[in-house]
Amino acid sequence: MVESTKPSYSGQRVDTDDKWYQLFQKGVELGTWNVEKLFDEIGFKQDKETWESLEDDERAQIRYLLSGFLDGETEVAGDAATNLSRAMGADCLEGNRQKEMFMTMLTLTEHKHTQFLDIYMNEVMDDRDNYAELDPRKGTRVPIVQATGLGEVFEHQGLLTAKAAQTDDPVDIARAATNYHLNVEGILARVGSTAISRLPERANLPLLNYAFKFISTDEGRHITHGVELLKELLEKEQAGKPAYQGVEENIVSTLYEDVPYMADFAYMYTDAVGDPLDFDIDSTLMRGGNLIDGMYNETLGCDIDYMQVMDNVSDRYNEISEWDLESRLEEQERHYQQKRGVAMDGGDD
Amino acid sequence: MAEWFPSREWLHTYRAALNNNETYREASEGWGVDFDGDFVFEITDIPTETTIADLPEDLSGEFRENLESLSDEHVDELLTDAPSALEERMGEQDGDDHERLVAAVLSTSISDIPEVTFSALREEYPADLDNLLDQLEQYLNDGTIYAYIDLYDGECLETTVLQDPEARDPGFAIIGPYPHWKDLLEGADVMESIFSEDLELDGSTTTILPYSEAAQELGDTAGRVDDRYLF
Ligand SMILES: [Fe+2]
Ligand SMILES: [Fe+2]
Repeated sequence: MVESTKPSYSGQRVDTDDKWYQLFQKGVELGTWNVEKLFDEIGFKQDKETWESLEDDERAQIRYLLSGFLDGETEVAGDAATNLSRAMGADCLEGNRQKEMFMTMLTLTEHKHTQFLDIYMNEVMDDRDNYAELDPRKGTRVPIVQATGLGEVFEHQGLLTAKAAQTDDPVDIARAATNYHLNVEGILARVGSTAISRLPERANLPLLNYAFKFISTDEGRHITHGVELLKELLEKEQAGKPAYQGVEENIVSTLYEDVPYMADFAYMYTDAVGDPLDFDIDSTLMRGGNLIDGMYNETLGCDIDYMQVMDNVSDRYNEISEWDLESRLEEQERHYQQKRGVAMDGGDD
Repeated sequence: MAEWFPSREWLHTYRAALNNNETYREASEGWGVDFDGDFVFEITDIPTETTIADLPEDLSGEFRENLESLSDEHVDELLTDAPSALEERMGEQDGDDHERLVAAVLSTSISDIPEVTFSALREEYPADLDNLLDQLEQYLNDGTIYAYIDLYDGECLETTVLQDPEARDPGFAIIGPYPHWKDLLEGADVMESIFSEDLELDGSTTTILPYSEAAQELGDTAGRVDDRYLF
């Protein structure tokens, strides 16, 4: 998966032959695109013009999609900086130093993704509140994210990564890496990026598209890291090391736990807004299925019960079909205005 | 008797097997009631370059014997009606007329059979082979066979092989190359085949979601039909 290019130099403390060293180097080389430069060089003009020409429901659809990313990037940045960085020092992992080095690159890029989305939504999509006072890491998210199950996946991420950092246990690390690198980055972010890459057929937003090419390349490295990390843990489990027993079972159960809420993301930016831009929930879900098979089954060799996956998604889909989404959103909006009141009164910084 | 796949007979046996499958019946209750629940299985990339000699021995063996045991007079008689395509093919073979006839016919590929076949030769085809070659001639469209399966409320109402792929407008299609259909019949998981893109599902994913067990049975039942593969 990681191309092994022979490093030019070697050190004593840093293992320059390590895969993670090479991933780190790739990040140093390729992950250094500059958000501000992108804004300066490509500019907002066309994106803003297009945005202004869109119908209300089309805007709502793009806003929902990007809100998922805005909250998602904020949360992955936070959890990487704290929990995951710490977990990379766990005794049960090989090459801690190189993994920690890579994690700084990962954290940097996640902050950059957040930076891009926040500025873009503020400058281009300026006709609505961007929920600036919200902090997803304190459990308050953009109403559509919080009202649907996407917030649950992120909530789960916070819990699993915190536990992994605390226990340094291989099974806990596997669960955290599964949620973070496979489910959130490998499936949700990739499915969402596919939707963005299809936008030019319907809405010409060149800056958004350009930036997402960089974001997707960065995410590719993060996913590679996650997959390689899980492979390392699975190999030790297969070699019969007692502390690693349960890794595969927990990778699979983390998928079953997250998958119904992951499907909410597909719903959130398609059928929840009537899908005016024709992102199509059916092909979105199928793409998710393809990615699940590719990573869990083909790459990691885990035994996935597809009927279980479908049943979990189906039960959840039945549940959300009964929702009155409008009133759920209003409730979140009220909750937000309350929080904002507290923030304005100096109750928060 | 094991049915040849792909064939009309296989499809009929599959229908009977579905209708005898209690698990399928229960799991697919309601399927197609307020939406189009019929399917087309598009079996693409049928290996039409396969020659008669390369077909399974059960089919080609008897035919070879029939041809080899023709009397010389019969061979002469046959050759008076032979189409020019067959004569050309014979020209590429060595030996006497009889040997060249046998070699030319057996080395003909499925896609070329219509141009070398004529009624007198056809009489030498064993019934099984004759029937299957006839079906391939009727149903092959650009290397693809379109099998239509009408599923409604726990039952399989109809199966038919479509001569004209446009003849029906099914709610769902499963599309994939012949080797992946063979994998399915040999026990591959149908949903895994679809998620891994070995087979492509054309139709509403959200409609299928509540019928995961029915989908599983649809695949597993195909796997349980006693079959022999044409290719
Ligand atoms: Fe990111
Ligand atoms: Fe990432």
